[in-house]
Amino acid sequence: MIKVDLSKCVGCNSCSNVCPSQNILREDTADGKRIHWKRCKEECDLCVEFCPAKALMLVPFEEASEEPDAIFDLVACKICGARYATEPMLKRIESVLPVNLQKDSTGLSGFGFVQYVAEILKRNGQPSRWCWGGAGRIHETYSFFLRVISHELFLLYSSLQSCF
Amino acid sequence: MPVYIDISRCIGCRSCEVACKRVHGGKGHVNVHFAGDQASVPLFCHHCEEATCTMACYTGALSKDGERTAFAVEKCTGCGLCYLACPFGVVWTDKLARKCDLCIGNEVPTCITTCPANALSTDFDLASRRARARAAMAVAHGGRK
Repeated sequence: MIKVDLSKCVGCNSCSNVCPSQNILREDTADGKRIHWKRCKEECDLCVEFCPAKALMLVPFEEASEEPDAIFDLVACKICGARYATEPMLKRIESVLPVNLQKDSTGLSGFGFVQYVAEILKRNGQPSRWCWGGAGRIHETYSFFLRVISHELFLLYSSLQSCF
Repeated sequence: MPVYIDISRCIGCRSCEVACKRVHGGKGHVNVHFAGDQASVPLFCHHCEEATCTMACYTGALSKDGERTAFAVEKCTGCGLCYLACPFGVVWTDKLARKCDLCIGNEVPTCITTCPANALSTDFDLASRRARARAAMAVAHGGRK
């Protein structure tokens, strides 16, 4: 049987995806997500092995124990408003990134630049086919925008700025 | 061998999207973005040197393989961490993750051979030379305001 440490769970659905007997149920709604662990008698520990947060534990089967539920609200993108990820997942990603990729406030480099492009798209009344910001709140923590394309885009958009 | 984009050449025809979908069984890894009708830019995996998707991936499904960011589907659990970590939004997680594999097995990625405007190339020097030329041109014409 699986014991869940709900304070560690990040809500990533890995356990549900790897469970061979489908004893871990997931339910995705527009603004939240729910993971439900059924009592299972299996001795397999795939979910334990693949949990990124080490929130699961294999314990002896007990009939009376209750079935745990993890309920998460999804965080909304600051640019487009779509809800896309659970808070602990974003925290986890921020924690694995090296310091030099984390936030700085150098205006148009890094995330500021992406936001700038998103603003232009919005001003044109043209919804981007996926929000640049919505691909991750993690965008806000970036201070780089890669190599050639960053410079290219910057030159192009800044020369276009006068047209808008 | 990442693919470099010359966005001043991109004509926004989305041929690269179509080519990518054709090669990868209906699910493409390129998306062309438009800024009004002023500019378009195809976005796909940059195969970053410091790839944040590989840092976020805890099973080792995403890893650096030389210049390429390789994806091993058999190790993927579909957790979606890479999708959130990618600064360009070019790793997707449906059931499992998927991303640009530079058309491994082909000599040249299909988007490059398809692009009718020669906006895509694997040649860093070419891309950087064009960019420098354009920057010099901008300065010669008074620069940006």
